[in-house]
Amino acid sequence: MNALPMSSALRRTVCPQSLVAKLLRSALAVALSVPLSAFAQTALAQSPAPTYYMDDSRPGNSFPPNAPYTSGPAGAVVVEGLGSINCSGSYYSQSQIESAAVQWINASYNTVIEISPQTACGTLSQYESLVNGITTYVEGHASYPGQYWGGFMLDEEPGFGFSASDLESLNIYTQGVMKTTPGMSWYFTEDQPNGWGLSTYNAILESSWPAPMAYTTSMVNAINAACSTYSVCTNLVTVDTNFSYPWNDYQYVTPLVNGTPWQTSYWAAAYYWWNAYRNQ
Amino acid sequence: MRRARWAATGGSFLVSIAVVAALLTVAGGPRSSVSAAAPHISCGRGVPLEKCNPSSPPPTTGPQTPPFPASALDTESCGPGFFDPATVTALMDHFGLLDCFRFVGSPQWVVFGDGMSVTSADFTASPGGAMVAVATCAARDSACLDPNVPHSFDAFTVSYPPLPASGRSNLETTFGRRLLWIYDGGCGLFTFDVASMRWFGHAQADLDALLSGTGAPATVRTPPAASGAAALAAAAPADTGDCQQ
Repeated sequence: MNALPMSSALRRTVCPQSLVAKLLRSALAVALSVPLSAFAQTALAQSPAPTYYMDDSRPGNSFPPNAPYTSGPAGAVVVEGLGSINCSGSYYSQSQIESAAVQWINASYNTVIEISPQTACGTLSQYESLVNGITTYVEGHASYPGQYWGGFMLDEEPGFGFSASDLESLNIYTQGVMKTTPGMSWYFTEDQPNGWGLSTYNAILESSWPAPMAYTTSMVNAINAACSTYSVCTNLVTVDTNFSYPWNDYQYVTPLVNGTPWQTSYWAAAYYWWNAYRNQ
Repeated sequence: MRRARWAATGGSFLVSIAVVAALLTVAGGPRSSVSAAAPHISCGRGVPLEKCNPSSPPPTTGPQTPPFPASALDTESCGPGFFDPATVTALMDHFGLLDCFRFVGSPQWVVFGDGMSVTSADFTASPGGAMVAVATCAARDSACLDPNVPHSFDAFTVSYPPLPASGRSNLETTFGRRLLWIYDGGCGLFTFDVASMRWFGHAQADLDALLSGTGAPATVRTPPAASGAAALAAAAPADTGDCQQ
């Protein structure tokens, strides 16, 4: 593995004093000549650092435990729907996903619904129908969904069998559905950023809120390339909390990602977020 | 900080929901309060501005009774000392990112490797592919059951999904503290029974039969199992041709 433990990485930033002085002078000169807005896209780590997080709970499960290396509970519940449709597996049917989400929302919890479209579980049209059906149910049964329902989180990976154009179609369909909903409800793409070429990854994202998986150096590089090349610089970074250290530690992972963490004024503008994935 | 530090995914699920609610209050979320005077924020490429900026203050709702009772944690994660750092490095370099756990009440330790290279700059398969390794502790072997006591990977038996070199497998979920749902790259979704170390499809009927102990679902053909030591030295086995898509 080519990632360094954090302590080593920090040590590598220490410079000789003369060099520090030169760098400071240069930095001052640059700071005086570059608009502040430029820094948002060229920072070397997410800024500000995200401290609030979403975490998974499959339908019927309780509130998720604190994620590793955090000091408090999740700020939002992600109802984990997996592939659903023909892969319901006792826990993941449309009705189970819907009712779980509505219960969280009606208890005033910030809530997101995750679906992992997989060709082994359903067709593209079935997933579109699932998105539409869940939306109709939530809007009809939840109190203040525009405030508490962040919308969908679509877990899109090349190994799940759908083509890039299929996923673009699904995302366009989803944003069409979500445009009609009140309030904040929209959709995240919890995608594997290194799963396609950079331009394809950028195209798949459409107008989603990107929530890219940052599980390896290769994935982090792809996220940063999308930022520098396509200005996809606001990300809800997804960290797999089941993995072994360091990739399960958001404090290790999020500083590797450039740009800005996702935020929304609905869930308080001062909060910056990352996304915890865990299997259950 | 030790590289071999393992996820402590837990804490206890037995935390009462009242405690959770109290912690949430202290931590400031998830019940949010948005100031009407909050500045507008950028919403992202093509996202309607109103999706990030409320046009009016949100509804005021008081704390309500959370809807779900607390449930017990299904798994216990391997501790920092479960494998020595050199073993963790070797396993990750060979099998990709790792999950290591034991179902609560089970004498079997499970290590899942996702088969995705952690060293390559590109998205490529790890040399040893995806796998599930299982080691069974003897009855009342408290040291073996301890997540912080050092273990040897030699004690594990490695089982492969139908297409180990798919480049990425996902451990999606578990059932009955015994069954794993593993998405094997482009090969399909499979059920792995930790107790029997056999692979099955994902149909509800198969799950029901396995969980109830009734019926005999058809197994999926997979590469031969190997000892931990042998698997760690071998390349990913070839596809068995039993992919579902």
